[in-house]
Amino acid sequence: MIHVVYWDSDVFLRLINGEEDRAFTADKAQAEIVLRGCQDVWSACQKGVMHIMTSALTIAEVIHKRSTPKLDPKYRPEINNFFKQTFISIKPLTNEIAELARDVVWDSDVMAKDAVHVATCAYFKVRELHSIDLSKKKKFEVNGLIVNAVIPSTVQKEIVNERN
Amino acid sequence: MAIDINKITTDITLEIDEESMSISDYQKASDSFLDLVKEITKNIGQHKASEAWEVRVYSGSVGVGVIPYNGFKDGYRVQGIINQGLEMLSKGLKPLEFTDKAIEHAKGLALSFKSSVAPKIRVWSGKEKSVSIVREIAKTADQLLSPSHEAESSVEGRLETLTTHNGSKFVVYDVIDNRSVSCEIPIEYLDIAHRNFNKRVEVIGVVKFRKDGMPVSVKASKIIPFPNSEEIPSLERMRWLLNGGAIA
Repeated sequence: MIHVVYWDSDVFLRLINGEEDRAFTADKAQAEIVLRGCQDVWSACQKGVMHIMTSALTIAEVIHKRSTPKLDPKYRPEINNFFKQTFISIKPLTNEIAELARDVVWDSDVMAKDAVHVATCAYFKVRELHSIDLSKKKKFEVNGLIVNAVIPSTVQKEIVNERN
Repeated sequence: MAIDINKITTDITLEIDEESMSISDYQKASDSFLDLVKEITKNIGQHKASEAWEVRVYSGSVGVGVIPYNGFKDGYRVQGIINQGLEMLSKGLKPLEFTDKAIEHAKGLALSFKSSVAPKIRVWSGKEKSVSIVREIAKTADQLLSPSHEAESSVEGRLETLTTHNGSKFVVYDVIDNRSVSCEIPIEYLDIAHRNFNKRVEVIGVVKFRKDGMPVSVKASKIIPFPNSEEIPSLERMRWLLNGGAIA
């Protein structure tokens, strides 16, 4: 089966912000590693060897690049289409996932929007969560499943997807 | 007639200990067994399942077994997954390494020989371990695969298998794992479904979910086609759009 990874919205933003994001980051070397990881995963997806899963929440979170003016509304449908790449699957935010996210907030002390990403990832039994913010927490146990939060990379081979 | 354990020469073996059996019972049991072996083999890696194993039929048709073929090296692993998976299903648990199809095949095996109180069949791992195929396996499979609750939600996948037989329906197949979700649609949606045949769509409606959260079916209230590839912005275009290139 294709290697499936879950992407937090902060990974999409880092990929879109590209090089410019480095200016806002204290650790420039780390920012470079993260950006290269995002680009590698994106490239692997374009080649058909990886697949990105994310929550519908990501669509609402990826709005504009840092410090840029408001987008012309006529371009909004085009931006919607960006998330309909052949290698991206958007998962709905259902009541069940929201309840699971609330458990994550209670158990792991993360913000609600971050918890939605952890919960969606766990709900669909993907154990590799690519995230910049959540990678500091490293591991989440949700409904008996361990979700590993890591910075984006194509080489986390030891993590096996359990999605069946 | 039970199999003579000392004569087992295959890695994974289906033992059929029935005095007499119909052609269809025998065929169903052996097909379910071989399909289970193929499904687990396919799921653990890149192997072409049909070329990984050689089939041996035991004298008197008391058993069907498989041995690795064409240099297939993961036979031991497949053996372990099948043994443990059947064991777990018989205890009412979901085997982690069994796909939906594998669970279906295990259920098929457990429902063989309907005339018996319980099928007198076992699956052997080499000569050492065996699992009795009890009806409980079919019960667990039903619990795992049947819908348990419903909610307003959506599913997405490739629209295939459009039919108007007994109502308008199509099946969407998940782009990641090919999992199928059947979608019931009002007759007026036939045209949009037909136009998007073999294309990726999002289907919104009342979704029935299994206990583990996986969608089983949808009573559709909306079908949203995915855009063609030329309508999807590239990463560079997305950067331009969100970088003030498209400001109001």
